[in-house]
Amino acid sequence: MAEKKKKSKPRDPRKMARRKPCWFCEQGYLLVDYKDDQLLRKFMTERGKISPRRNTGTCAKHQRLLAAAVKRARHIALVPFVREYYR
Amino acid sequence: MRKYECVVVLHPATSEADTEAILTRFESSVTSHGGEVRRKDAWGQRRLSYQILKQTTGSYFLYHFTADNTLVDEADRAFRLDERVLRHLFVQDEEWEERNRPSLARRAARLASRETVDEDEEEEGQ
Repeated sequence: MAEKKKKSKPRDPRKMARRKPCWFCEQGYLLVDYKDDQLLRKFMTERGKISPRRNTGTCAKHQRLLAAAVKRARHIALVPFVREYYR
Repeated sequence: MRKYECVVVLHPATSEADTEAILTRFESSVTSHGGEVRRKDAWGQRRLSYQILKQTTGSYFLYHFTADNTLVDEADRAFRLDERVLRHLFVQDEEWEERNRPSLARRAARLASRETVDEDEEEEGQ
């Protein structure tokens, strides 16, 4: 509600959040390796979901590659489908 | 003839002789189809991220090989029928390391050049 009002006002450029650069682009990755489970886990939530782009700043291209890599890694049990919390 | 990559996850209770038998059968079927095993890595026993057939560990093997698609179909069938194989995955070899290396090198070069530029500017400022 309050956000909607703010949006109509011209934004102060100093207050606008700068988009986080894509980690894979920065590092110069052309592909995302499904065997690198440590790396994939960095882009997954604690529950085992693939983190959304809005949180990680990954670009669209690398997010697609990442998603495919996570799915492959899940199949061979390098990375979980779901990590359930103990209740 | 295509390049492939394959990961095989074996049941932790598989004896060494059985492991050897499964892998050599796969390797010989690759060569009998006119392919070539380019690389073979044993990752050893690893924890599985979830239980498969009540098992929490599995021994992982990674292959890079060349073959035609008939071999992949055949090997896929063989692995699926074998209960000692918990999981297997065939993927067209993306040559991850080879293809990423130039971009990594380019990135390093770019960073290096940027750093020198920054230093120059600082000197001018002073």
